[in-house]
Amino acid sequence: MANTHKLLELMRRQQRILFSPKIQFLFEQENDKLKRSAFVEQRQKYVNDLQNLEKQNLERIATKMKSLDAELENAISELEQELQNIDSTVRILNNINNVCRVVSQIFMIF
Amino acid sequence: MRKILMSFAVIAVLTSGCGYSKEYRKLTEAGNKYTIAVEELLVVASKLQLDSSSERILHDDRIINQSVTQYQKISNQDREILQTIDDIRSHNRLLQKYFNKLEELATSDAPSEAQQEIEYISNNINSISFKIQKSRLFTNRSQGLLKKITNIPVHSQIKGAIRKELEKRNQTILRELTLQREMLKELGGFMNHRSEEIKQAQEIRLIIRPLIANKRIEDENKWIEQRRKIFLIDRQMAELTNASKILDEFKDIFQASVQGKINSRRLNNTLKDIDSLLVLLENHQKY
Repeated sequence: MANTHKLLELMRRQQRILFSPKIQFLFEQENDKLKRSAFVEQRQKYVNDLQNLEKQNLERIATKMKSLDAELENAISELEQELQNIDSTVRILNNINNVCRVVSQIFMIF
Repeated sequence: MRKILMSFAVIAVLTSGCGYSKEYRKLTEAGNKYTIAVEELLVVASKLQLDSSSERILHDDRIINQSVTQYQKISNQDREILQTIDDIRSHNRLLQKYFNKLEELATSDAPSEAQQEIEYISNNINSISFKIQKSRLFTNRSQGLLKKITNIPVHSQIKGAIRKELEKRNQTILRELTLQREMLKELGGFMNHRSEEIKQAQEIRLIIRPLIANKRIEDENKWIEQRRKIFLIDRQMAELTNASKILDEFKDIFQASVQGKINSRRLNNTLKDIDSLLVLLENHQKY
């Protein structure tokens, strides 16, 4: 893993050199169209290879993360259940209160 | 009748529920804000991917006219990278939902609602008692005591639920936060490189080209302003990288919280640091 990161950093540095003002202006002024075309093609290939490597690293992490999705979903539904249990405690108290109010009103009538 | 009234009071107290620690609230708030900051970072990473790739297309086009095929190849690669970032974002949203539910539980106003209900109940019971035997079942003192102990079961219910959840899911969340750390490290390198690419490309496109052109720079003030902005891209990125360190520390903070080895001060500092990062991320999006 450490080697991949070293390689990535090296490739990133080299890519920035390929797009540096010196190289960019040198090829913009190049008269030979074939050389210009070959340079851009190779530069694009280099960027493509670097991005594939970066993408693979991110995908590897995304896959590992995905394997935890089910557990997180379970946790979310269990927490939802707990929230409902607490709400029902308050509802029970509310019902007791309603009963008391009714009883109190009945006593007022008599 | 007195027995019936007493049973109502006992049921009421037993069904309601002290003081779950404020650390839980702060931890769940920090967890929630952590996931928001990660989401914002991933959005910035997607934008940097597109902007750097657009700059590269323009540079290539200056050397040799680009074809539709070349353009589509680069766009497809952008799409694939954005898709991978989106996959991480959708997983992060799940983690956000988890911390949201935990925060909802930790900040629930059920204990105060229960306390309010018990106040009504004791008033009603007193009123009934007065009507039956011309005496109050609850004195002012006992009514006050009843209100105080009423929220104990609800508080305990919440505290117990959070503790049970954190203990049960501790290893999963730690595994998750280890992966998040790994992802943030990758993302840091990814974003820094793109930011440097954009800076270099914009310097060529907006600063050097107009300067070396035969024609005089039309709007010199604009040129000066652009040069300053481009030069400051590095500093902005360095600030963002520095502020993002708090996300890297979150795993240790979570672990210490679950083990009860954290104090309010450290949690407050964490919350402050995440807030500062969120402000930086917001400013970065405006730029």
